[in-house]
Amino acid sequence: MSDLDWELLDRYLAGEATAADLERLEQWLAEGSEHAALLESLQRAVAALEGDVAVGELEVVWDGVAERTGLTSVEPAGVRPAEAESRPTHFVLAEPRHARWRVGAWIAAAAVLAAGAVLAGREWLTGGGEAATVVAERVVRVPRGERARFRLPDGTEVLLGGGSTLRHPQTFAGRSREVTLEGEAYFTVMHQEHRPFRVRAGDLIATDLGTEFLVRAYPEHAGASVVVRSGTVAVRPVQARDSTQPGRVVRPGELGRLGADGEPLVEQADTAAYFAWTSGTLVFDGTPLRDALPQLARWYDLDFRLADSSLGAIPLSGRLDQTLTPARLDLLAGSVGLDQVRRGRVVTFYRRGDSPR
Amino acid sequence: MRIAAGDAQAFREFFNREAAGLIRYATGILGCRDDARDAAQETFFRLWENRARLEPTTDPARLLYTIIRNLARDRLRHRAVERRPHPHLETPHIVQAGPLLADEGEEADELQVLLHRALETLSPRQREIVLLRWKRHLTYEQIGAELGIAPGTASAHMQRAIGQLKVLVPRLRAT
Repeated sequence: MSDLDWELLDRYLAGEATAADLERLEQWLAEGSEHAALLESLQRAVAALEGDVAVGELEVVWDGVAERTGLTSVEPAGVRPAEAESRPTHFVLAEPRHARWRVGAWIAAAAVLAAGAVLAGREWLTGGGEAATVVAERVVRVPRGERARFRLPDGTEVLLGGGSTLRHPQTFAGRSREVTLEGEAYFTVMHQEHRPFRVRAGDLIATDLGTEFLVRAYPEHAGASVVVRSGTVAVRPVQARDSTQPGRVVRPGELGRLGADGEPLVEQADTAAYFAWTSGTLVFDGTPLRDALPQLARWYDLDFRLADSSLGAIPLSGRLDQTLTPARLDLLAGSVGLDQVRRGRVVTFYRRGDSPR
Repeated sequence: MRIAAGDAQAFREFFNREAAGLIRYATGILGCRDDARDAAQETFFRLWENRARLEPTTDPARLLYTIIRNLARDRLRHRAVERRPHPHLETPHIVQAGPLLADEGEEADELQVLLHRALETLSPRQREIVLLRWKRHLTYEQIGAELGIAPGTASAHMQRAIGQLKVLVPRLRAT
């Protein structure tokens, strides 16, 4: 442990390790299994670093603990009012009286689905001019390496991609049907003339006008995109000044997103490649490795990295199905002229001959 | 130790210190923030209920992580067997199953908790930069552009973070 060179480790984890670095790292790893264990644990710990925990979230958890332990009289030490005010609104709505419910949901687990869909014990207010009604929210989350197909309460069919989350109210009350997506999903919407179906994703809102369409909004990309298979979809920014404007219309064969000016933009695109995953194939057509790797990670639930960040520009083309054998991994690396080494859940691509193997 | 003696204020302070890191850790296992929050609530509840059994030598924070890990693993197992259909579901829920999780021993778990807690001692800014560099593999120029700071500042934060880990990890390991 004392002989761990953190600077070397830093370069390795950052993808900046030189061939000499990799050689030294290999030596260090070969010294004992605890070294490999340390590296793997560190990678896992770093992977879990993501995401800030808001003060509002902690308050909800504390309220639940306090209610169950009978410690409600304790002052919330250390929470400054300024921070409490900045808590996200949807947590404000989920305050202590629901705490028992939350715990119930945890213990019962009856509503838990195989792919990780959970009933969030959170409620939201649907307003929109009518008397506000409290509607429970359902959160469907699909782990990496999987996909899930299900129907929303209105009959709309959703195919949710790996590493994606869809939030929707348990019943669609009010004059619109709105869901929130992080990740990627394919919607076959049951069109209702007077109750538009809206997907809120990243920086945009897509409204169906009678449609099958796909929305992609992964956090690592700057903006969301919408691709239409049939019918039409209207796209407008989340930050629209005038929310009554329907936005720009996207037709089959087109891709809708927000331009650099924040206004909706519609362009021709190879939409077939976008839809491919919905039928079990991942398609790349000259996609730079740095963009392809996050998609591969979600598809196979592995972490892919590059020994050298300049490799990120290499274009990847080809079709991949759902099973990845070691031989296929070799083939994949070979198709872009690289070597690969898999260690646990981490696959690293090296320039030919640079691999420590 | 004040929690074992039933000091509610000490328990609240303990919660404030540990809850965010614990939720982040559980999110890493469960892959879902809502579940992680529920698990954290259950964990603190259990610790308080069993406070009388806390030994003076036990590190209560370490115990928290053990409890939540077991809860989270139970929960995952539950998910795997509980194949109740979604009320609006017609086709099988899992369209494609991913590769199985690798086996993890208890030692690996302890080691990960230790490293996690070391990372939790970093400032939010340091943690953010560690994440951008070690997880998203960005260069200092890219990190600077992302956060609106000079690349040199990003690098300085990273060096301080590494310096802290360098000191902290062996020390935590020795205990």
